[in-house]
Amino acid sequence: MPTKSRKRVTRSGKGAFSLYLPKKWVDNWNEDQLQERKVDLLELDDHLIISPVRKNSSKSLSLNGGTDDEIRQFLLCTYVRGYESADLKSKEFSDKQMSAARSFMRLLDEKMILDISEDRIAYGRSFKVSLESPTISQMQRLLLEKIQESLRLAKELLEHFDENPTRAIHLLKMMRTLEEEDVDRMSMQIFRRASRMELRFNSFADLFFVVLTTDLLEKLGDGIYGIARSVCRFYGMDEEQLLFPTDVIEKDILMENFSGSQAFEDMRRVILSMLEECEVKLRDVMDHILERKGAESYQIMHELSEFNKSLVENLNTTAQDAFMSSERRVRMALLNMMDVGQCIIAIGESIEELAKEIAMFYFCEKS
Amino acid sequence: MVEEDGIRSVKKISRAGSGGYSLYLPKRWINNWSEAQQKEKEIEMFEVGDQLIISPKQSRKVLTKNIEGASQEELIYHMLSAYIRGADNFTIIQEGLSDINIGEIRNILRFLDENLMVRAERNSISFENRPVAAYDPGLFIPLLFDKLIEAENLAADLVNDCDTNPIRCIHLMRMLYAIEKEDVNRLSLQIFRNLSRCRSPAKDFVDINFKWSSANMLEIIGDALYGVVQIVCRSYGINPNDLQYPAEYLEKKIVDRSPVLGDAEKLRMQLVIDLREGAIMLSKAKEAIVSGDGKGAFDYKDELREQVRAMEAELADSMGEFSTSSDVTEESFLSVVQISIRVREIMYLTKSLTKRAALIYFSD
Repeated sequence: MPTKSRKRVTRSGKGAFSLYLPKKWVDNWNEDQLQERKVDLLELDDHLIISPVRKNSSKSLSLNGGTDDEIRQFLLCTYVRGYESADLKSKEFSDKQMSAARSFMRLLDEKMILDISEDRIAYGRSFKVSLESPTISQMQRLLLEKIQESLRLAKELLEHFDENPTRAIHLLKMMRTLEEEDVDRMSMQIFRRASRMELRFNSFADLFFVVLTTDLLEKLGDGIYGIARSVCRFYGMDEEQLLFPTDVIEKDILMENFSGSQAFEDMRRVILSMLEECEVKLRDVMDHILERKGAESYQIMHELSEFNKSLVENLNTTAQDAFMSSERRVRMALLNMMDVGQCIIAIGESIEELAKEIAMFYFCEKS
Repeated sequence: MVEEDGIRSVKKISRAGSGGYSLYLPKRWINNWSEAQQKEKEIEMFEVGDQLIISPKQSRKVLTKNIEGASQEELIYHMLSAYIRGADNFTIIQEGLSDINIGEIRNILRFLDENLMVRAERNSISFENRPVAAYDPGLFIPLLFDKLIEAENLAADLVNDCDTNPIRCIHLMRMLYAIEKEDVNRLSLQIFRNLSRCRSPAKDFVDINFKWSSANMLEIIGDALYGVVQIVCRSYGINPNDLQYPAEYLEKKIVDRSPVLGDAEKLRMQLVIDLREGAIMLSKAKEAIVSGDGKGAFDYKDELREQVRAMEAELADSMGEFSTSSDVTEESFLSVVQISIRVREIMYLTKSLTKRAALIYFSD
């Protein structure tokens, strides 16, 4: 539990109150902060949060022989924690590491100014984010739209992946870009703004709601990308290969066309209809997240729970029939399709989880 | 005041005395204080990171809801929603609350948190915090981990014995039911509440946000583990909700059970190993998360990625072998596939929890 201390506020002038700030707290300020003497005040619930306007949050770390992954982790970690600037030092970064760090930070946030040399990878903000920055609703709306787009691509992918691998590879690449470059990036940007308390909210619970739902949306994006991963497994390829040119990937694909198998087609039909239904349900939940509609979410939460039960039931019955009536050659493909079906069930569960969280946080808030 | 935007404003602090500083407090904020608070003029303050958080002494979040025609479940949901939002005092007023309504809500709240005092009158029911909390909220997340580690080991025993020792499995499933319904869910809600009320130890807001996400993810791991119980229940012909009843009653109901994993012995062994390994993974993740050890989580995340990849490949091989063997039967096919999926989901969730810990704590 945070250690609390007590103080009295002093009446000064007509109706105004002032507070002596704890010396220990001000002593931690740097020279610039002491010179400017400005504080941000944020009212949350009945708390007042006071912090110096000029943030003194810089992180520095020396790495000897750091790996590419460690560099990336340092940049990402300092970014989501909301540091103003971060500085990573090493005896000698390789060209590849410098270039990867540059691309990564540019992609993550275009507002960052980079300072990269052989012995230093650093970033800082080019300007202060003003109150006119996108609202959390706008950011989450965009994130939701990207997720919906990804769902549509997944549907198209499942329709064609065995008959038309060229088109499927193109779709897989797009899904990868959406997941890695849009969904993940936007989530990180929201996390950073939440860490910096730059979002508009009225209570701590609102802040946590934003973090929790963003986390769930990221998970939902990951679930949809799981369908792409399953198709990669069908193709006998590693998902990392999606970075290669299409013609190179195409040569390595091992794929049998199962469109002649009735059992396989039955599975595909059921899976596609499950995905379509998830798309509709996500559209229903979208407004409730953005408008914080607790009561409405409570209503559809039960509907979603029944919907998910029906997804499981539907998949199980179809899989069981298809599996038992198939020859061994088709059974492995059906197992892979079960994997895809499971991804869709996970998508349905994430949508239900979102509705549950909205209801949990905002149900008691309705008038 | 320099600038203002609703609940957010910027002010200058002034020098006061020798080296001290003072700050004019926003009038609107003070105006929200109760009369007693304004008279007493005392505040409580604490630091989180570089932020100073102040609140009037005896600050209480009081909520009252006048509602009409809410069902029993809605009434409970109102209570839970206010509970996790950190209300100190919450009252529901509804005409015609029945004794059954009141009795059930009272039971749920008492069970949920022993620090709540519940009061019921003719048309209202409310909860209020006891003046002194009877627990240390800092221990909740480690405790939640411990409960799940225990549950994962119990699930391994369940998978091992589900076809050979149904009597033992009834006991295992009842324990798993109790852990899920009575421990995991309750602890998660208590963690959420304490975070909402700033009662949980935290270095800064990033730490607080991460604790929310972790508790949520741990709750989902609990659901996945309980998923294994539901699959076995189906094969035994038992409704999972009946696990609250005595073992003797349940034993009589499993006369016509169908095989869970049947003759898929190699696969069974694989699943048991994976669940036991999963419990070890979870305990390592706990170590890194509870101590905020970002470097440890970072190193472990890589190890975990390889381990999960290897486990996934072995599981896929065993599944492939099973699916094309003569062991596969109509009854066992679904339970085999579904238990494998649940086990894989638990591994993924543990991996993703560790990955998130590395993301949050690495630079520290």
